[in-house]
Amino acid sequence: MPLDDPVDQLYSDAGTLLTLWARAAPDGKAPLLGDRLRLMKLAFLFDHALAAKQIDALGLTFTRWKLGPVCNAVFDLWEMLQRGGMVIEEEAFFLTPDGRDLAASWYDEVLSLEENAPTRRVFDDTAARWRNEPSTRAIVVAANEIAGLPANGQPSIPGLESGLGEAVVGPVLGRPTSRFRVGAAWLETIAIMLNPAAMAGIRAAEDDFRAGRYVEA
Amino acid sequence: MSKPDDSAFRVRWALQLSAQLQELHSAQLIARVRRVAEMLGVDPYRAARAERLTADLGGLRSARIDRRLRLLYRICGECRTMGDQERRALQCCSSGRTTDATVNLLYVVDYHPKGLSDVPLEFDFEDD
Repeated sequence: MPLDDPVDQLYSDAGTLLTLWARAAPDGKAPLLGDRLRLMKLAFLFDHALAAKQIDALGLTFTRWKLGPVCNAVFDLWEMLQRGGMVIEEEAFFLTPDGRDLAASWYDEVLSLEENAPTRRVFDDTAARWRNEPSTRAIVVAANEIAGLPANGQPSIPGLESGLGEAVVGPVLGRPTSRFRVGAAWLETIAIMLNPAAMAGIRAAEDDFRAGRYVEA
Repeated sequence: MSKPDDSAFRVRWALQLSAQLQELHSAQLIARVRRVAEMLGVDPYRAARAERLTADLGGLRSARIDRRLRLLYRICGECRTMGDQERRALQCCSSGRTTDATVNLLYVVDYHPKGLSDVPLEFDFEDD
């Protein structure tokens, strides 16, 4: 289904970006994903590449900021993914076994759908381009160049400060060439997987049934 | 054509779900959950926009109570047919004392993530 609901879009972005960060992880260092700067700029580079092809896949808006393009929603996604036990942040982000499984399933069952092929091609190009680049700096430089910022992100040109906060990449305007789709079953699934209270509740209820603690309607 | 049997499926509530219901503090919402449970007792595969979940949650189903809330459950027949009891065994899977036409209601979950709870509850659900 197309992602017309902002909550659906948020869950879809969580699944897609987790998968991107997993697939673009510096080679040989798994489960290390990288620091916040690397993950934020990877999301930007992917979103920018999608926008260049008018593909409507992510619901993110990146603005120009002092350390390069930034999107507040990505901070929310990190919190969701950490709360759901998919990543752990200890200076850098690390993928957990649950996160690895979710990323693998999302790639195979969502990104690999035929109708999502245009998104997957951009996804594969982005992941392949950056997984061999262990240095965060190279990614930051590439992102800042696109965003019209100096390589270090710190505006030194008089007047450039006034451009801070301006949108660099946002929702696709006009008719998209392709719209990313996620099945309702997957949206319901990821919503629960990222909700630790729900996961605990399910386990407790299944324990109830195993122990014969149930009531008949 | 004969009318479907209103009690085609035996519906069982996990004890913790019964307790969770009392904590909803809304008679309207509790009635809504009970109504969805009744509908699942008639057609658990399609009622209330039922969806079979996937990945690690395969074997579970989700039914809509409203825009935000979902009732999670399992169907014994589906569990046995799809091999879900291998991964998520319940006592009923192996005991043989329950028929395939048994629905096990587990838990009510909020579809909206924590921190996005400013969306008002709204009953947009249409009876099948």
